[in-house]
Amino acid sequence: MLFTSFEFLVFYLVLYALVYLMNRYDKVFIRNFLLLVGSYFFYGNLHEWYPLLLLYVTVVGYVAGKVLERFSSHRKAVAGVSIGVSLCPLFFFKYAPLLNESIWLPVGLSFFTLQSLTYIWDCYRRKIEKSFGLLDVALFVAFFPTLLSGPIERARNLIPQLQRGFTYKWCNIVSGVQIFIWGAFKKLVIADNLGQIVDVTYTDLETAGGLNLALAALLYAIQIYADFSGYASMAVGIGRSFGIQLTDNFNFPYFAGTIKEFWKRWHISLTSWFTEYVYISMGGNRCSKWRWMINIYTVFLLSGIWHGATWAFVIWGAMHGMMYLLERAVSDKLTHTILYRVVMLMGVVTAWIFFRIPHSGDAWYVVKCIFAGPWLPFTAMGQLPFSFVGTICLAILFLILELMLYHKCYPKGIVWHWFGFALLICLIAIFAIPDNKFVYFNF
Amino acid sequence: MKRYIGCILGFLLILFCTDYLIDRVLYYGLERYYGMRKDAELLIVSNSYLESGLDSDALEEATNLSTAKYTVSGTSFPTRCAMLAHFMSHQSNAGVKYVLFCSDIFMLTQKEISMNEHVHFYPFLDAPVMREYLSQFDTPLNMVKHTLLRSTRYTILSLYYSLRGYLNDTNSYIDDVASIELWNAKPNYSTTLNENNMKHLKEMALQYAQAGVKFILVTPPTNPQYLRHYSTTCDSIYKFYRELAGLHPNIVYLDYTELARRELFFDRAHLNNSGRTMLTTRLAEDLNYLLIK
Repeated sequence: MLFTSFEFLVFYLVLYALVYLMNRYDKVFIRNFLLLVGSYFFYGNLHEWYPLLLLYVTVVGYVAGKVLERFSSHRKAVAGVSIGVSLCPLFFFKYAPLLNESIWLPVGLSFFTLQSLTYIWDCYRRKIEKSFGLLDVALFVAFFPTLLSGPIERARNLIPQLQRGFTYKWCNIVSGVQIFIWGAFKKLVIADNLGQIVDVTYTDLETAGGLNLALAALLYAIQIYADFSGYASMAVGIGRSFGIQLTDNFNFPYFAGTIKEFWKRWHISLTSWFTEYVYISMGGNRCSKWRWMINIYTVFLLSGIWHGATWAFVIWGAMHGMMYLLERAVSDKLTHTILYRVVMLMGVVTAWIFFRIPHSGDAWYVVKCIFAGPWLPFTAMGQLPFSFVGTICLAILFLILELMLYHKCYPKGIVWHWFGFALLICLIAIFAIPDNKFVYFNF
Repeated sequence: MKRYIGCILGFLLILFCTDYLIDRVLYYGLERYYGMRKDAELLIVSNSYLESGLDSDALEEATNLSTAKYTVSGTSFPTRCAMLAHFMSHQSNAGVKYVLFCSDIFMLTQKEISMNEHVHFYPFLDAPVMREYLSQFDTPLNMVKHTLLRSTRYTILSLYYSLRGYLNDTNSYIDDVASIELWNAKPNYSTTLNENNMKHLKEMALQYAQAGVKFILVTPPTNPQYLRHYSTTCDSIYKFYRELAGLHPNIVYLDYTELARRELFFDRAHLNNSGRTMLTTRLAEDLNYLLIK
């Protein structure tokens, strides 16, 4: 059941009505229980065994929280063991497919595992004073909007919101719906259409020349942003409709002036997770310069490995680590020039090639073709010419809309506002490609 | 509460108005593209064979007959029948005197329509003929969706056709020539004659012929590999078309099979720019001969 399916709409409306009723009569426990059942149903709909993983991660987190609250000694060992035990399914399913291709990574496992770790970690660091009840922890881990692809929420942010009565404000519902529509537009219209061109190009690398591969790399950069931020927007929109504030996962990353800024705007919840729980745990920047560089590089490499057990992801992480460190060597005056932005974006787009193509050898071939040729004549990349041109026009439209949103430069007034969203719905109706999975479901 | 309901209704009003506006703009272009907005005397109904193989403007000029070209790629016999019925039921098309019905060698062998060919016709959902046709292939839920939100009736392809309708560009222009390997490749699927299709074609042709419309069956130039591979089926098909033409003076059969040469095709089955000019010229000559007769 995808956010963009009709089944989800029915599921959401039924659950919303039930939750609303329970909330209205101050039955928070029953309301949260309903949300939990709904979330397990949502996940179980993908595969009947998946909820067992949720249950496992929840129980480990809950028990760890209770133990960490009760004992003042050996806390580090308890936290370490709990984290290790929590990570077992993730390691197994992430890396077992390398040995046995019949094993696949369950959707969302990486996300809710990392999310549950925030609870254990916060209990260990006493950022959470008193451990939460089983229902709260279970709902925190399984909350359906964030379940499949984040945002990776902190326990200290989400659980208190879930414990309170939801405030159903009209403005929350309206903005939730608007954010959801914008997310659906990004996913269904932009990402899926661009994905068709990118997929065809990367399927047959031999016949695609440097020009086509360069364009495919550029389009993939837009596709992955539209796809992942589209999912995040839909998740945030659904959360908002319940009155819950989820973390904004993206903040116009391609308009960043530096790599550092890019990482403050891209997949914010994962970046802040690595910053808080890995980078700072390793000493952050309160150490020698060399140690700091190692810390930074480790975080980027881990981020790459988190995405998958292939050299291509390691190279992707290493490239970003390298760019991040090189940037520190460049003077501030230079980093804010247009030339630097162009070079930085070229670096980001090049790194995406390794992210997209599973075999690092193929990815190197693509990079070589782009920068050194052969630049074979430009083709419509497996599309009919009008379809190709139409898709490029959609990509340009998307960039213009992003630019308008970034500069908050759009017509004001409720009628214009609603007209804009009505237009988005119509564009979704025309251009949507149904039943396409989200890119980040692979991680 | 009243305010909230007012807001929801207000948004729905804006949504449906926007949706309707988009539909009208695209629909107008499509009508122009398929020639539905002119009082056509000659109607061409076909799949991609005559879509790429006929220049309707040149035909119009050569025959002095106002020509509409209702051609959609990948359309099978049942769909072509629905297209013909749809065009003839269209309010401004009462004056059609000649129907040029593409009758390729595969038309009578298809058992059912291909998976997605019906999606091209959602923009015409308001026409009863098309609604009946489409309801056979889609779920009731999807039909409701297409009825309520008109934008869902369009695809990127119909958008393109609509744009071409506004630009008065109804012909395809492909200069490529099929490679020898492609041209000589043997077909790898089997065909059998569909008795129902034959019966339906006969009834339809007679119905139009008796109503005073000249029903012209046209077989486009066909790759000899197909003829060799399906020789038994082809013989029966050609025989059927000839017999059909003998049933009524208003039923005519024009066979251009033998005109096929590799230089005139851009792939195994479709005419290129030169092929289009050649076929249009030949067809115009034959039509003029028919007009005189």
